[in-house]
Amino acid sequence: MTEPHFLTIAQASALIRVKKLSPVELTEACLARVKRLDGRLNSHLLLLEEQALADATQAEAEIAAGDWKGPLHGIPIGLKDIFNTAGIPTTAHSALFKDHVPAEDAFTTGLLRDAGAVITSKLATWEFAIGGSSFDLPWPPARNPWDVTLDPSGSSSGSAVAVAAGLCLGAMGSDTGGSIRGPAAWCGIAGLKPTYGLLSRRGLLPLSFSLDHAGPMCWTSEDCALMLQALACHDPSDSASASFRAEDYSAGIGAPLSGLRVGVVRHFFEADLLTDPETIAALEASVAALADMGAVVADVRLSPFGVYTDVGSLIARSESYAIHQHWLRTTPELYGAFARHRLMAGAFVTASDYINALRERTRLVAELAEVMKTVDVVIFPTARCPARPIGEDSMASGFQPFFNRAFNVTGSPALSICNGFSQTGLPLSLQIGGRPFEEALVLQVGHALERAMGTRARRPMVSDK
Amino acid sequence: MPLSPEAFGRMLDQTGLSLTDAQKSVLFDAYPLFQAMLARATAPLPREAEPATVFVADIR
Repeated sequence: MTEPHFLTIAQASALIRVKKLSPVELTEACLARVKRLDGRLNSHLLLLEEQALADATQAEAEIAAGDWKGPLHGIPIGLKDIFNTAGIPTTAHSALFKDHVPAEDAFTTGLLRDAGAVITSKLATWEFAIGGSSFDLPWPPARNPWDVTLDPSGSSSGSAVAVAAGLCLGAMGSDTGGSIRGPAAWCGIAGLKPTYGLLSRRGLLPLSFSLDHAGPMCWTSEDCALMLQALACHDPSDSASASFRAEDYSAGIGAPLSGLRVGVVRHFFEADLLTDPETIAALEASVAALADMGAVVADVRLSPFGVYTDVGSLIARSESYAIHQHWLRTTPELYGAFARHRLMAGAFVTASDYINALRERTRLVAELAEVMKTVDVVIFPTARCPARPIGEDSMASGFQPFFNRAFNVTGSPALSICNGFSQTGLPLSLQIGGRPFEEALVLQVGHALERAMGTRARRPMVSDK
Repeated sequence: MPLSPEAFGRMLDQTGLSLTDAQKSVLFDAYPLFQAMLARATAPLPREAEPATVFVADIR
Protein backbone atom coordinates (compact mmCIF):
# COMPACT_ATOMS: atom_id res chain seq x y z
CA MET A 1 0.00 0.00 0.00
CA THR A 2 1.11 3.60 -0.64
CA GLU A 3 2.51 5.23 2.49
CA PRO A 4 -0.44 6.85 4.34
CA HIS A 5 0.80 10.43 3.91
CA PHE A 6 0.98 9.97 0.12
CA LEU A 7 -2.56 8.63 -0.25
CA THR A 8 -5.01 10.87 -2.03
CA ILE A 9 -8.10 11.95 -0.12
CA ALA A 10 -10.19 9.60 -2.27
CA GLN A 11 -7.90 6.65 -1.48
CA ALA A 12 -7.57 7.39 2.23
CA SER A 13 -11.26 8.02 2.63
CA ALA A 14 -12.17 4.70 1.00
CA LEU A 15 -9.82 2.88 3.38
CA ILE A 16 -11.04 4.80 6.43
CA ARG A 17 -14.66 4.06 5.60
CA VAL A 18 -14.06 0.30 5.60
CA LYS A 19 -11.81 0.62 8.69
CA LYS A 20 -8.62 -0.46 6.91
CA LEU A 21 -6.96 2.85 7.76
CA SER A 22 -7.18 4.61 11.09
CA PRO A 23 -7.60 8.42 11.07
CA VAL A 24 -5.25 8.47 14.06
CA GLU A 25 -2.59 6.50 12.17
CA LEU A 26 -2.99 8.78 9.14
CA THR A 27 -2.80 11.96 11.22
CA GLU A 28 0.23 10.69 13.12
CA ALA A 29 1.96 9.91 9.81
CA CYS A 30 1.41 13.47 8.59
CA LEU A 31 2.45 15.06 11.89
CA ALA A 32 5.64 12.97 12.00
CA ARG A 33 6.46 14.02 8.46
CA VAL A 34 5.99 17.69 9.33
CA LYS A 35 8.39 17.33 12.25
CA ARG A 36 10.94 15.54 10.09
CA LEU A 37 10.84 17.66 6.94
CA ASP A 38 9.36 21.07 7.59
CA GLY A 39 12.60 22.47 8.97
CA ARG A 40 13.65 22.59 5.31
CA LEU A 41 10.29 23.45 3.76
CA ASN A 42 8.96 26.11 6.17
CA SER A 43 5.39 25.39 5.12
CA HIS A 44 3.97 25.42 8.65
CA LEU A 45 3.51 28.45 10.87
CA LEU A 46 1.68 26.46 13.53
CA LEU A 47 1.27 22.69 13.98
CA LEU A 48 -1.94 21.92 15.88
CA GLU A 49 -0.68 18.54 17.09
CA GLU A 50 -2.69 18.05 20.26
CA GLN A 51 -6.00 19.18 18.80
CA ALA A 52 -5.44 17.26 15.56
CA LEU A 53 -4.82 14.00 17.43
CA ALA A 54 -7.90 14.60 19.58
CA ASP A 55 -10.01 15.25 16.47
CA ALA A 56 -8.59 12.17 14.72
CA THR A 57 -9.38 10.04 17.77
CA GLN A 58 -12.93 11.37 17.80
CA ALA A 59 -13.31 10.71 14.07
CA GLU A 60 -12.11 7.16 14.56
CA ALA A 61 -14.67 6.59 17.32
CA GLU A 62 -17.49 8.08 15.24
CA ILE A 63 -16.68 5.93 12.23
CA ALA A 64 -16.38 2.82 14.42
CA ALA A 65 -19.86 3.64 15.72
CA GLY A 66 -21.21 3.79 12.16
CA ASP A 67 -21.38 7.59 11.95
CA TRP A 68 -19.29 8.21 8.80
CA LYS A 69 -19.72 11.87 7.82
CA GLY A 70 -18.34 11.71 4.30
CA PRO A 71 -15.08 11.69 2.33
CA LEU A 72 -13.30 14.26 4.53
CA HIS A 73 -14.01 12.42 7.79
CA GLY A 74 -10.67 11.78 9.50
CA ILE A 75 -8.62 13.43 6.71
CA PRO A 76 -5.71 15.77 7.70
CA ILE A 77 -6.26 19.21 6.21
CA GLY A 78 -4.14 22.39 6.52
CA LEU A 79 -5.31 26.00 6.38
CA LYS A 80 -3.53 28.95 4.81
CA ASP A 81 -2.96 31.30 7.72
CA ILE A 82 -5.48 33.87 6.57
CA PHE A 83 -8.41 31.52 7.41
CA ASN A 84 -9.68 32.42 10.87
CA THR A 85 -9.57 29.69 13.50
CA ALA A 86 -11.39 30.26 16.80
CA GLY A 87 -8.96 30.63 19.67
CA ILE A 88 -5.97 29.85 17.43
CA PRO A 89 -3.62 32.53 16.04
CA THR A 90 -4.30 33.66 12.47
CA THR A 91 -1.32 35.77 11.51
CA ALA A 92 -1.38 36.35 7.73
CA HIS A 93 2.37 35.60 8.08
CA SER A 94 2.80 39.20 9.29
CA ALA A 95 4.31 40.91 12.34
CA LEU A 96 1.25 43.15 12.21
CA PHE A 97 -1.05 40.20 13.04
CA LYS A 98 1.43 38.13 15.07
CA ASP A 99 -0.86 38.14 18.12
CA HIS A 100 -4.19 38.07 16.29
CA VAL A 101 -6.44 35.36 17.76
CA PRO A 102 -9.93 35.32 16.19
CA ALA A 103 -12.99 34.52 18.26
CA GLU A 104 -14.69 32.56 15.45
CA ASP A 105 -13.79 30.14 12.70
CA ALA A 106 -14.00 31.24 9.09
CA PHE A 107 -17.22 29.90 7.55
CA THR A 108 -15.24 27.45 5.42
CA THR A 109 -13.16 26.32 8.43
CA GLY A 110 -16.43 25.47 10.17
CA LEU A 111 -17.68 23.52 7.14
CA LEU A 112 -14.49 21.45 7.12
CA ARG A 113 -14.91 20.67 10.82
CA ASP A 114 -18.58 19.75 10.22
CA ALA A 115 -17.40 17.33 7.51
CA GLY A 116 -15.13 15.64 10.04
CA ALA A 117 -11.83 16.92 8.66
CA VAL A 118 -8.85 16.96 11.01
CA ILE A 119 -7.36 20.47 10.96
CA THR A 120 -3.65 19.90 11.43
CA SER A 121 -1.99 23.22 10.74
CA LYS A 122 -1.88 26.91 9.92
CA LEU A 123 0.23 27.25 6.81
CA ALA A 124 2.67 29.81 5.43
CA THR A 125 1.43 32.47 3.04
CA TRP A 126 2.84 35.52 1.37
CA GLU A 127 2.26 38.33 3.88
CA PHE A 128 -1.45 39.26 3.79
CA ALA A 129 -1.66 37.09 0.66
CA ILE A 130 0.20 39.70 -1.39
CA GLY A 131 3.80 40.14 -0.25
CA GLY A 132 6.05 37.60 -1.90
CA SER A 133 8.53 34.99 -0.64
CA SER A 134 10.00 37.41 1.90
CA PHE A 135 12.92 37.03 4.30
CA ASP A 136 12.07 40.03 6.52
CA LEU A 137 9.02 38.56 8.29
CA PRO A 138 8.67 36.80 11.68
CA TRP A 139 8.69 33.42 9.84
CA PRO A 140 10.79 32.35 6.84
CA PRO A 141 9.13 31.81 3.45
CA ALA A 142 8.00 28.34 2.37
CA ARG A 143 10.31 26.54 -0.04
CA ASN A 144 9.56 24.41 -3.09
CA PRO A 145 9.62 20.68 -2.22
CA TRP A 146 10.93 19.76 -5.68
CA ASP A 147 14.05 21.87 -5.03
CA VAL A 148 14.32 23.91 -1.84
CA THR A 149 16.36 26.61 -3.57
CA LEU A 150 13.29 27.41 -5.67
CA ASP A 151 10.21 29.50 -4.98
CA PRO A 152 6.94 27.60 -4.44
CA SER A 153 5.14 30.79 -5.60
CA GLY A 154 2.23 32.15 -3.63
CA SER A 155 0.43 33.47 -2.00
CA SER A 156 -0.92 30.07 -0.86
CA SER A 157 2.68 28.86 -0.67
CA GLY A 158 2.52 26.73 2.48
CA SER A 159 -0.68 25.03 1.29
CA ALA A 160 0.88 23.89 -1.98
CA VAL A 161 4.15 22.83 -0.37
CA ALA A 162 2.43 20.87 2.41
CA VAL A 163 0.16 18.96 0.00
CA ALA A 164 2.94 18.18 -2.49
CA ALA A 165 5.27 16.94 0.25
CA GLY A 166 2.64 14.77 1.93
CA LEU A 167 2.42 16.83 5.12
CA CYS A 168 -1.38 16.92 4.83
CA LEU A 169 -3.77 15.48 2.23
CA GLY A 170 -5.54 18.70 1.33
CA ALA A 171 -5.34 22.38 2.14
CA MET A 172 -7.28 25.60 1.84
CA GLY A 173 -5.90 28.42 -0.26
CA SER A 174 -7.15 31.78 -1.44
CA ASP A 175 -6.85 33.32 -4.88
CA THR A 176 -7.10 37.05 -5.66
CA GLY A 177 -4.77 37.16 -8.65
CA GLY A 178 -3.74 33.50 -8.96
CA SER A 179 -2.70 32.64 -5.41
CA ILE A 180 -4.13 29.11 -5.53
CA ARG A 181 -3.17 28.27 -9.10
CA GLY A 182 0.35 29.74 -9.10
CA PRO A 183 1.72 27.69 -6.20
CA ALA A 184 -0.30 24.68 -7.36
CA ALA A 185 1.53 24.94 -10.70
CA TRP A 186 5.04 25.33 -9.32
CA CYS A 187 4.54 22.63 -6.67
CA GLY A 188 2.88 20.15 -9.05
CA ILE A 189 -0.54 19.78 -7.41
CA ALA A 190 -4.16 20.56 -8.35
CA GLY A 191 -5.65 23.87 -7.23
CA LEU A 192 -9.17 25.11 -7.90
CA LYS A 193 -10.28 28.72 -7.89
CA PRO A 194 -14.06 28.29 -7.85
CA THR A 195 -16.64 30.69 -9.25
CA TYR A 196 -16.78 33.99 -7.34
CA GLY A 197 -19.53 33.58 -4.75
CA LEU A 198 -19.50 29.76 -4.61
CA LEU A 199 -17.38 29.63 -1.43
CA SER A 200 -17.87 32.04 1.44
CA ARG A 201 -15.14 34.59 2.10
CA ARG A 202 -16.34 35.23 5.67
CA GLY A 203 -13.51 34.86 8.14
CA LEU A 204 -10.73 35.13 5.56
CA LEU A 205 -8.50 38.14 6.07
CA PRO A 206 -9.54 40.15 3.02
CA LEU A 207 -7.20 41.41 0.33
CA SER A 208 -9.51 42.58 -2.46
CA PHE A 209 -13.25 42.30 -1.88
CA SER A 210 -14.34 41.73 -5.46
CA LEU A 211 -11.45 39.42 -6.44
CA ASP A 212 -10.92 37.22 -3.36
CA HIS A 213 -11.80 33.54 -3.73
CA ALA A 214 -11.30 30.62 -1.32
CA GLY A 215 -10.58 27.20 -2.79
CA PRO A 216 -9.19 23.70 -2.30
CA MET A 217 -5.62 22.58 -3.05
CA CYS A 218 -4.99 18.82 -3.32
CA TRP A 219 -2.82 16.27 -5.06
CA THR A 220 -5.56 15.50 -7.63
CA SER A 221 -8.57 17.10 -9.28
CA GLU A 222 -10.70 14.32 -7.83
CA ASP A 223 -9.66 15.38 -4.32
CA CYS A 224 -10.49 19.00 -5.12
CA ALA A 225 -13.98 17.82 -6.04
CA LEU A 226 -14.33 16.02 -2.71
CA MET A 227 -13.24 19.10 -0.76
CA LEU A 228 -15.44 21.39 -2.84
CA GLN A 229 -18.46 19.24 -1.98
CA ALA A 230 -18.03 20.10 1.70
CA LEU A 231 -17.20 23.76 1.06
CA ALA A 232 -19.78 24.95 -1.48
CA CYS A 233 -22.55 26.36 0.67
CA HIS A 234 -24.49 29.62 0.60
CA ASP A 235 -23.48 31.93 3.43
CA PRO A 236 -26.09 34.63 4.11
CA SER A 237 -23.51 36.62 6.06
CA ASP A 238 -21.19 37.00 3.04
CA SER A 239 -22.62 39.70 0.77
CA ALA A 240 -21.06 38.05 -2.29
CA SER A 241 -22.18 34.51 -1.50
CA ALA A 242 -24.34 33.23 -4.34
CA SER A 243 -27.53 31.23 -4.11
CA PHE A 244 -27.02 28.13 -6.21
CA ARG A 245 -28.24 24.58 -6.58
CA ALA A 246 -26.02 22.09 -4.79
CA GLU A 247 -24.60 19.53 -7.18
CA ASP A 248 -22.32 16.52 -7.16
CA TYR A 249 -18.88 17.93 -8.02
CA SER A 250 -17.49 14.40 -8.46
CA ALA A 251 -20.20 13.43 -10.94
CA GLY A 252 -17.90 13.82 -13.94
CA ILE A 253 -14.84 12.16 -12.43
CA GLY A 254 -13.96 9.29 -14.77
CA ALA A 255 -16.69 10.14 -17.28
CA PRO A 256 -15.75 10.25 -21.00
CA LEU A 257 -14.91 13.54 -22.73
CA SER A 258 -16.28 12.63 -26.16
CA GLY A 259 -17.86 15.64 -27.83
CA LEU A 260 -16.49 18.10 -25.29
CA ARG A 261 -15.63 21.44 -26.95
CA VAL A 262 -12.23 22.72 -25.82
CA GLY A 263 -10.90 26.17 -26.70
CA VAL A 264 -7.15 26.80 -26.64
CA VAL A 265 -6.32 30.43 -25.82
CA ARG A 266 -3.23 30.20 -27.97
CA HIS A 267 -2.42 33.91 -28.16
CA PHE A 268 -1.88 34.04 -24.37
CA PHE A 269 1.25 31.87 -24.61
CA GLU A 270 2.28 32.38 -28.25
CA ALA A 271 1.94 36.18 -28.49
CA ASP A 272 1.06 37.85 -25.19
CA LEU A 273 3.69 36.41 -22.80
CA LEU A 274 6.83 34.63 -23.96
CA THR A 275 6.47 31.07 -22.70
CA ASP A 276 8.97 28.32 -21.99
CA PRO A 277 9.14 25.68 -24.80
CA GLU A 278 8.73 22.75 -22.40
CA THR A 279 5.51 24.32 -21.07
CA ILE A 280 4.20 24.72 -24.61
CA ALA A 281 5.18 21.15 -25.48
CA ALA A 282 3.29 19.86 -22.44
CA LEU A 283 0.26 21.89 -23.48
CA GLU A 284 0.39 20.45 -27.02
CA ALA A 285 0.63 16.94 -25.56
CA SER A 286 -2.43 17.71 -23.45
CA VAL A 287 -4.29 18.96 -26.51
CA ALA A 288 -3.43 15.70 -28.31
CA ALA A 289 -4.62 13.70 -25.31
CA LEU A 290 -7.93 15.58 -25.26
CA ALA A 291 -8.41 14.89 -28.97
CA ASP A 292 -7.63 11.20 -28.38
CA MET A 293 -10.35 11.17 -25.72
CA GLY A 294 -12.88 12.48 -28.25
CA ALA A 295 -12.83 16.19 -27.42
CA VAL A 296 -13.18 18.73 -30.22
CA VAL A 297 -10.32 21.21 -29.88
CA ALA A 298 -10.12 24.64 -31.54
CA ASP A 299 -8.32 27.91 -30.90
CA VAL A 300 -10.27 30.78 -29.34
CA ARG A 301 -9.43 34.44 -28.88
CA LEU A 302 -9.85 36.69 -25.83
CA SER A 303 -8.44 40.13 -25.02
CA PRO A 304 -4.64 40.21 -24.73
CA PHE A 305 -3.55 38.73 -21.42
CA GLY A 306 -1.97 42.02 -20.36
CA VAL A 307 -5.39 43.67 -20.25
CA TYR A 308 -6.59 41.15 -17.67
CA THR A 309 -3.40 41.64 -15.66
CA ASP A 310 -3.69 45.41 -15.65
CA VAL A 311 -7.40 45.53 -14.86
CA GLY A 312 -7.04 42.91 -12.12
CA SER A 313 -4.00 44.59 -10.62
CA LEU A 314 -5.59 48.00 -10.59
CA ILE A 315 -8.75 46.76 -8.89
CA ALA A 316 -6.74 44.68 -6.40
CA ARG A 317 -4.40 47.57 -5.58
CA SER A 318 -7.33 49.92 -4.94
CA GLU A 319 -9.33 47.53 -2.79
CA SER A 320 -6.33 46.28 -0.80
CA TYR A 321 -5.18 49.85 -0.12
CA ALA A 322 -8.63 50.64 1.28
CA ILE A 323 -8.16 47.74 3.72
CA HIS A 324 -4.56 48.52 4.70
CA GLN A 325 -4.46 52.33 4.52
CA HIS A 326 -4.70 52.85 8.28
CA TRP A 327 -1.86 50.45 9.10
CA LEU A 328 0.29 51.69 6.23
CA ARG A 329 0.00 55.19 7.65
CA THR A 330 0.48 54.31 11.31
CA THR A 331 2.73 51.22 11.45
CA PRO A 332 4.39 50.76 8.05
CA GLU A 333 7.45 49.25 9.75
CA LEU A 334 5.39 46.16 10.70
CA TYR A 335 5.08 45.11 7.06
CA GLY A 336 7.76 43.31 5.10
CA ALA A 337 9.14 45.28 2.17
CA PHE A 338 7.40 43.26 -0.57
CA ALA A 339 3.90 43.64 0.94
CA ARG A 340 4.46 47.28 1.87
CA HIS A 341 5.52 48.21 -1.66
CA ARG A 342 2.68 46.34 -3.34
CA LEU A 343 0.05 47.71 -0.98
CA MET A 344 1.31 51.29 -1.10
CA ALA A 345 0.97 51.33 -4.88
CA GLY A 346 -2.78 51.55 -4.28
CA ALA A 347 -2.33 55.02 -2.81
CA PHE A 348 -1.76 56.36 -6.32
CA VAL A 349 -4.97 55.02 -7.90
CA THR A 350 -7.66 57.66 -8.29
CA ALA A 351 -11.37 56.95 -7.90
CA SER A 352 -11.92 57.42 -11.62
CA ASP A 353 -9.07 55.00 -12.47
CA TYR A 354 -10.71 52.39 -10.23
CA ILE A 355 -14.18 52.90 -11.71
CA ASN A 356 -12.81 52.79 -15.25
CA ALA A 357 -11.03 49.51 -14.46
CA LEU A 358 -14.37 48.15 -13.21
CA ARG A 359 -16.01 49.26 -16.46
CA GLU A 360 -13.33 47.45 -18.45
CA ARG A 361 -13.96 44.43 -16.23
CA THR A 362 -17.61 44.40 -17.32
CA ARG A 363 -16.47 44.28 -20.94
CA LEU A 364 -14.06 41.42 -20.22
CA VAL A 365 -16.76 39.39 -18.44
CA ALA A 366 -19.09 39.82 -21.42
CA GLU A 367 -16.35 38.92 -23.89
CA LEU A 368 -15.54 35.66 -22.07
CA ALA A 369 -19.25 34.80 -21.83
CA GLU A 370 -19.55 35.09 -25.63
CA VAL A 371 -16.52 32.84 -26.19
CA MET A 372 -17.88 30.31 -23.68
CA LYS A 373 -21.01 29.95 -25.86
CA THR A 374 -18.79 28.32 -28.48
CA VAL A 375 -16.74 26.01 -26.20
CA ASP A 376 -17.30 24.16 -22.91
CA VAL A 377 -13.88 24.86 -21.38
CA VAL A 378 -10.79 26.83 -22.33
CA ILE A 379 -7.20 25.78 -21.67
CA PHE A 380 -3.82 27.52 -21.49
CA PRO A 381 -0.73 27.10 -19.28
CA THR A 382 -0.94 28.15 -15.64
CA ALA A 383 2.73 29.11 -15.39
CA ARG A 384 4.80 30.24 -18.38
CA CYS A 385 7.89 28.51 -16.91
CA PRO A 386 8.78 26.05 -14.13
CA ALA A 387 9.64 27.30 -10.64
CA ARG A 388 12.28 30.06 -10.34
CA PRO A 389 14.82 30.83 -7.59
CA ILE A 390 13.37 32.01 -4.29
CA GLY A 391 13.81 35.66 -3.30
CA GLU A 392 13.24 37.35 -6.66
CA ASP A 393 11.14 40.53 -6.48
CA SER A 394 8.71 40.38 -9.39
CA MET A 395 7.49 43.93 -8.67
CA ALA A 396 10.94 45.36 -9.27
CA SER A 397 11.60 43.24 -12.38
CA GLY A 398 8.07 43.40 -13.79
CA PHE A 399 8.30 39.66 -14.56
CA GLN A 400 4.87 38.01 -14.68
CA PRO A 401 5.20 34.21 -14.37
CA PHE A 402 1.53 33.19 -14.54
CA PHE A 403 -1.56 33.29 -16.77
CA ASN A 404 -3.97 33.62 -13.86
CA ARG A 405 -5.65 37.01 -13.71
CA ALA A 406 -8.22 36.37 -16.44
CA PHE A 407 -10.38 34.15 -14.26
CA ASN A 408 -10.17 36.41 -11.21
CA VAL A 409 -11.31 39.39 -13.23
CA THR A 410 -14.21 37.44 -14.74
CA GLY A 411 -15.01 35.40 -11.62
CA SER A 412 -15.26 32.15 -13.58
CA PRO A 413 -13.88 28.84 -12.27
CA ALA A 414 -10.32 27.79 -13.14
CA LEU A 415 -8.32 24.73 -12.18
CA SER A 416 -4.55 24.27 -12.37
CA ILE A 417 -3.23 20.74 -12.83
CA CYS A 418 0.20 19.21 -13.32
CA ASN A 419 0.46 18.04 -16.94
CA GLY A 420 4.13 17.09 -17.18
CA PHE A 421 7.67 17.63 -15.95
CA SER A 422 10.60 19.60 -17.28
CA GLN A 423 13.87 17.90 -18.17
CA THR A 424 15.15 19.07 -14.80
CA GLY A 425 12.27 17.28 -13.06
CA LEU A 426 10.14 20.31 -12.19
CA PRO A 427 6.34 20.29 -12.56
CA LEU A 428 4.70 21.88 -15.60
CA SER A 429 1.14 23.09 -15.51
CA LEU A 430 -2.11 23.52 -17.40
CA GLN A 431 -5.11 25.67 -16.57
CA ILE A 432 -8.71 24.73 -17.36
CA GLY A 433 -11.31 27.49 -17.25
CA GLY A 434 -15.06 27.02 -17.36
CA ARG A 435 -18.40 28.80 -17.27
CA PRO A 436 -19.63 30.16 -13.91
CA PHE A 437 -20.74 27.38 -11.54
CA GLU A 438 -19.55 24.62 -13.90
CA GLU A 439 -16.84 23.37 -11.53
CA ALA A 440 -17.90 19.76 -12.04
CA LEU A 441 -17.01 19.92 -15.74
CA VAL A 442 -13.68 21.68 -15.10
CA LEU A 443 -12.77 19.01 -12.54
CA GLN A 444 -13.84 16.25 -14.94
CA VAL A 445 -11.42 17.55 -17.57
CA GLY A 446 -8.67 17.98 -14.98
CA HIS A 447 -9.06 14.41 -13.78
CA ALA A 448 -9.07 13.01 -17.32
CA LEU A 449 -5.88 14.90 -18.20
CA GLU A 450 -4.08 13.89 -14.99
CA ARG A 451 -4.80 10.28 -15.92
CA ALA A 452 -3.83 10.71 -19.56
CA MET A 453 -0.58 12.55 -18.80
CA GLY A 454 0.36 10.14 -16.00
CA THR A 455 1.69 12.82 -13.68
CA ARG A 456 0.21 11.72 -10.36
CA ALA A 457 2.64 8.89 -9.63
CA ARG A 458 5.66 11.14 -9.10
CA ARG A 459 6.13 12.94 -5.76
CA PRO A 460 8.93 15.30 -4.73
CA MET A 461 11.78 13.63 -2.85
CA VAL A 462 12.37 15.80 0.20
CA SER A 463 15.43 15.11 2.31
CA ASP A 464 15.54 16.02 6.00
CA LYS A 465 19.17 17.10 5.67
CA MET B 1 5.51 61.78 -19.69
CA PRO B 2 7.93 60.75 -16.88
CA LEU B 3 7.08 62.14 -13.48
CA SER B 4 9.74 64.32 -11.79
CA PRO B 5 10.90 63.40 -8.27
CA GLU B 6 9.38 66.66 -7.04
CA ALA B 7 5.97 65.94 -8.56
CA PHE B 8 6.10 62.39 -7.21
CA GLY B 9 6.95 63.79 -3.77
CA ARG B 10 3.93 66.11 -3.87
CA MET B 11 1.70 63.19 -4.87
CA LEU B 12 3.14 61.10 -2.05
CA ASP B 13 2.46 63.87 0.46
CA GLN B 14 -1.22 63.74 -0.45
CA THR B 15 -1.44 60.04 0.49
CA GLY B 16 -0.60 60.71 4.12
CA LEU B 17 2.04 57.97 4.13
CA SER B 18 5.23 58.49 6.13
CA LEU B 19 8.03 56.88 4.19
CA THR B 20 11.77 56.69 4.51
CA ASP B 21 13.87 57.94 1.61
CA ALA B 22 14.64 54.33 0.66
CA GLN B 23 10.94 53.43 0.57
CA LYS B 24 10.16 56.53 -1.50
CA SER B 25 12.91 55.57 -3.91
CA VAL B 26 11.50 52.05 -4.44
CA LEU B 27 8.04 53.45 -5.19
CA PHE B 28 9.42 56.15 -7.48
CA ASP B 29 11.42 53.59 -9.46
CA ALA B 30 8.32 51.37 -9.89
CA TYR B 31 6.00 54.26 -10.76
CA PRO B 32 6.56 54.17 -14.56
CA LEU B 33 5.40 50.53 -14.61
CA PHE B 34 2.36 51.58 -12.63
CA GLN B 35 1.62 54.51 -14.96
CA ALA B 36 1.74 52.16 -17.94
CA MET B 37 -0.63 49.76 -16.20
CA LEU B 38 -3.06 52.60 -15.46
CA ALA B 39 -3.05 53.65 -19.09
CA ARG B 40 -3.72 50.14 -20.37
CA ALA B 41 -6.43 49.32 -17.82
CA THR B 42 -8.48 52.45 -18.35
CA ALA B 43 -8.91 52.53 -22.11
CA PRO B 44 -11.76 54.76 -23.32
CA LEU B 45 -15.17 53.08 -23.23
CA PRO B 46 -18.62 54.24 -24.35
CA ARG B 47 -20.09 56.77 -21.93
CA GLU B 48 -22.83 54.33 -20.88
CA ALA B 49 -20.45 51.46 -20.05
CA GLU B 50 -21.22 50.28 -16.50
CA PRO B 51 -18.68 49.22 -13.86
CA ALA B 52 -18.70 45.65 -12.61
CA THR B 53 -20.18 45.33 -9.15
CA VAL B 54 -19.42 42.92 -6.36
CA PHE B 55 -22.91 41.44 -6.16
CA VAL B 56 -25.75 40.66 -8.53
CA ALA B 57 -29.13 41.33 -6.96
CA ASP B 58 -31.12 38.80 -8.99
CA ILE B 59 -29.26 35.80 -7.56
CA ARG B 60 -30.21 36.63 -3.96
